[in-house]
Amino acid sequence: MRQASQSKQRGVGRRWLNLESLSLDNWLYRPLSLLSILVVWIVFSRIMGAQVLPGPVSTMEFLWEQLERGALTRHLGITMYRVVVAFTVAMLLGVALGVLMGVSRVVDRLLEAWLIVGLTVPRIMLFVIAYLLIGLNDTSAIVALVITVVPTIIVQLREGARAVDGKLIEMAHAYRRSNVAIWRKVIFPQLLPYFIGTARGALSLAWKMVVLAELLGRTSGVGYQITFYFQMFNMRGILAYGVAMMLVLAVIDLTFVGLMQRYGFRWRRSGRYAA
Amino acid sequence: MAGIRVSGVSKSYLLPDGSEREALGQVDLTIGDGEFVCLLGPSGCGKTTLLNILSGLDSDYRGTVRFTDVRSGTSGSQQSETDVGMGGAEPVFSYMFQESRLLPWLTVRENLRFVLDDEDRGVRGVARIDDWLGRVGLEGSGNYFPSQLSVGMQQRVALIRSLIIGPEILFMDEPLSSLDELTASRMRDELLNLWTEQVPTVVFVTHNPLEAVYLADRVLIMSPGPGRIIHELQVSEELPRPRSSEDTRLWELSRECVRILKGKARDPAGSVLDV
Repeated sequence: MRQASQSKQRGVGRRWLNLESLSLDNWLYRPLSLLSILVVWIVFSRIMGAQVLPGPVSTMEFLWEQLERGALTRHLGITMYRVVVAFTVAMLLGVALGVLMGVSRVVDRLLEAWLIVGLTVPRIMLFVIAYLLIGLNDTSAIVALVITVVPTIIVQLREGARAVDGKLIEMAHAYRRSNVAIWRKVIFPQLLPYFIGTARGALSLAWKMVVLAELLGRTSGVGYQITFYFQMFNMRGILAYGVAMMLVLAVIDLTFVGLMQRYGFRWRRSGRYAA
Repeated sequence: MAGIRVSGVSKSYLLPDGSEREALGQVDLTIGDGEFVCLLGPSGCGKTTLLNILSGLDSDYRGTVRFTDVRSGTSGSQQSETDVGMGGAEPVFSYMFQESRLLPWLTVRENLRFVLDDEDRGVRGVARIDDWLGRVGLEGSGNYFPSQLSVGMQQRVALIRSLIIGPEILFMDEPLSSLDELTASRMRDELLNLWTEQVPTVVFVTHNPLEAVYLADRVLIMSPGPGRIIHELQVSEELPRPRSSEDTRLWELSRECVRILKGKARDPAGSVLDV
């Protein structure tokens, strides 16, 4: 029943496109979209020549080679390690500061300037400065990554904390509920959608920025491999590692979308049953 | 069971320009154990302010609020008095708001469980919840989310949430004013039926004179600027229970309330009453 009402809503929203008149089954659109990318890639590869722009098949061959040699897993692993550490630290820091800034006016005012600087500073500068101040090592890469990601986490969780419904907290106080119960049952469920949404954005941002960090000052990781093949004018290598990064990010992203649909909004989706 | 004794309670707000605005001026009031009292007055006369002070949600006021605990005395003659907010000695309060204030991410059953204490949550708690749902005609909707219910049904859930904990004092802040008149009048009778089973002390805030005289043992008429009680109307002698909503004496008493309220409207304060 729920399925039916959803597809009905979807139909209303997209009527102007009149996609319903196409007799393709719903599940076919996504593979079709993916296929069109491959087709464009192949066409351009043919036009420009396989030496300049290798096609998907030749790129996948190269990727497979790298996998067999162990280079792919090693570099992907290192990159992933940097992202996971930076992401974890950034989330802990960003959630705490964001909620604090959302709840307390004083903290908000005190940290406002820092936040604005963090949001506006050119990302590439952060990495350069970190390498110069701390040295060419993993610590500076991770520190710069954390600083890159934290401001966006703060902004979203501050928004979430501000949107917490004070009337519901008042209700819980009127029924003399404990602070633990209020955090678990009243405040946390309101922050959860913000939390998952933020985590998704932060992880994909860290995943994109880590390549920059490695390109500028590391001798391992996917970013380094891309610079390496750039210096060799090896387009196959660049494309192969690019595709690998995209695939991993896509898997992460789809996992988050699944999480969001399962936990974040279950109670919002259910349709009405009585008037 | 418990009564309330209020003496010299007043409250003022600090305005942004530094001056004070008196919201409540010198309220003295005694409410007996098991008495149904309505606070009647126009919007902004301090009814909700007084209710929040009595229920302990607002502790920033001058004066004293005491609760007379009749239970602790074996013969009923012994009375102990406790200050509001004193912890263990406080009577069991519950509060029904103008909006249902159900937690949207919890089902109806979980919402009722939320206000029960840990020791009441076992198998007996489940039976108790189902029993209460049945009493207001909501059997079988325990697993729905609030958003799946109509406003009237949500307010019924809020009503049984306020009664399921076995309150000694029940505070109600215009709980029926957002409902259509037909639903509201049906719920008034449900409320009276449930009240006669437990006979908690009720403080019911309303701006509807007819509702006040239909429900209350005693109507306290309030006037704004600063909020105070200007008149007391003993209803229980003129209108013995059970009452009929068709009773013409109801209309006479209601008109008397309006006369008193309008008489006060020509006050030098010049506030316009919306009754």
